Amino acid sequence: MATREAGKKMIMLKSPDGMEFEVEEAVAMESQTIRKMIEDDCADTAILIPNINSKILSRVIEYCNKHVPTTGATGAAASDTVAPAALAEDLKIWDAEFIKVNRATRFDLIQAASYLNIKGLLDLTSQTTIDTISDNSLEEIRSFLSTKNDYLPEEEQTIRRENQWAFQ
Amino acid sequence: MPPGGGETSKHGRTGKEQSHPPAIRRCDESRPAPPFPAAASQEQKKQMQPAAAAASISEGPLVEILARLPYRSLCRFKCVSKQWRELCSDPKIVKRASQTLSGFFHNDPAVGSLRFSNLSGGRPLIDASLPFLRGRYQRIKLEQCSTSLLLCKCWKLESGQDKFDFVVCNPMTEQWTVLPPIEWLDQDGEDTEGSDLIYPFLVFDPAVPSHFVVFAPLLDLVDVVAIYSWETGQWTPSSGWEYTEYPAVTKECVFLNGMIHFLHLFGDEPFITVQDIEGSFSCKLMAPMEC
Repeated sequence: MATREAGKKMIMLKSPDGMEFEVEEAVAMESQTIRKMIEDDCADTAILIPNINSKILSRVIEYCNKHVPTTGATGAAASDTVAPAALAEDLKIWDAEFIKVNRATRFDLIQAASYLNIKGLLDLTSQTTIDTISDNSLEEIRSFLSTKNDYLPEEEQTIRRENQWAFQ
Repeated sequence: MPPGGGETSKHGRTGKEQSHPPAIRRCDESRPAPPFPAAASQEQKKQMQPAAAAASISEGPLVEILARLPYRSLCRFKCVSKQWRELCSDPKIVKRASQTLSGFFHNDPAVGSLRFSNLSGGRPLIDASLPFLRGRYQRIKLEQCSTSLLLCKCWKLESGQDKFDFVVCNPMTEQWTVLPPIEWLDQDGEDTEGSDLIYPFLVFDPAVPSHFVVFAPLLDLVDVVAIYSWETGQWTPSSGWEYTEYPAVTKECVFLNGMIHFLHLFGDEPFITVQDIEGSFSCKLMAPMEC
């Protein structure tokens, strides 16, 4: 797996739980955080990605692999015969499939995308949650995001009164 | 970071064939892990705080989600919990929120009342005739608008031209407050004489909702400005105005970046004084002569 076509620089990413991921530099540079490290020459050996476990990191790499703009890295999906519009449509379908994960994983992905500064992944992962909570009642949101209502009844009444217009 | 939950590793990969799956190999445990490169900024590291409770959403992802919501949703979600209220009021997040109510209030002389022009084109979300004030006042003139609050001069049915109230109101919530006459206790604990309220200047920071202040110059005192706080419901004298030789012209005030900029025109050299919302003096800037 480690041997790839010549001329492609490989970068080793390490998760804190001891897994190593060898990826093409172009794929790793989808992350602005890693790009900065590479550009600052801080990435000679393996890069340890703190707080992102191997399961999440492998999903993030999977996303970057798919979204890296050069041909080859995305494999069969990016061929010269495919029109850009079809390619975009293909990516959209792929994204929709990619984000079909449970909530905990999605929040982990948001956190990872935020830390690694991968805008596309951050938009994709947070938008799904926004779509879910936008039209829901407060009670539904609390239960969906396991958030405890820690207001006293009179405190909640006051804050609701102050923001009444937003409920109408 | 909370544990990843019960999702299987194959999930989401079955639909499409992956031509180059990431190469994974177990690293040698005896080898020391290289230190994380110094290039990672402190700010980014801060976002990786561990979650307070594994079961609930941690702050990092929550901030990313809230920052993508419109302002209206932020106000609604303040009611979810105390943590949400804090985040939804965070100026950094509020600034990123898309504003759904944007437009202009203006006096319409033709009908003698206030109008609102919605910039987003749709139906105005508020009734600009301010019906909630109509029970008490006959004539209403908009003096100033500070984000979502209005400062109006209001005349009662029976009162003459020179008898009016200054009213601060929120056209959305229909809450309103009449500004009381300017008076405060002096150092001996005795009432000072009341001053006329002229040229009040309303300051409302949407990042600190349900709290506004009004600044007003005093005719008989040049080194003090009266400050009304909605929280206390009282006027207090400002501090730190010893530097100024002429009263601030509050009609010419600008509220910018959380600071109030007063323009002082009536001297040999015009200048601008900058105060924070608490009334503390910050700095004095010389104004260009042409202004």
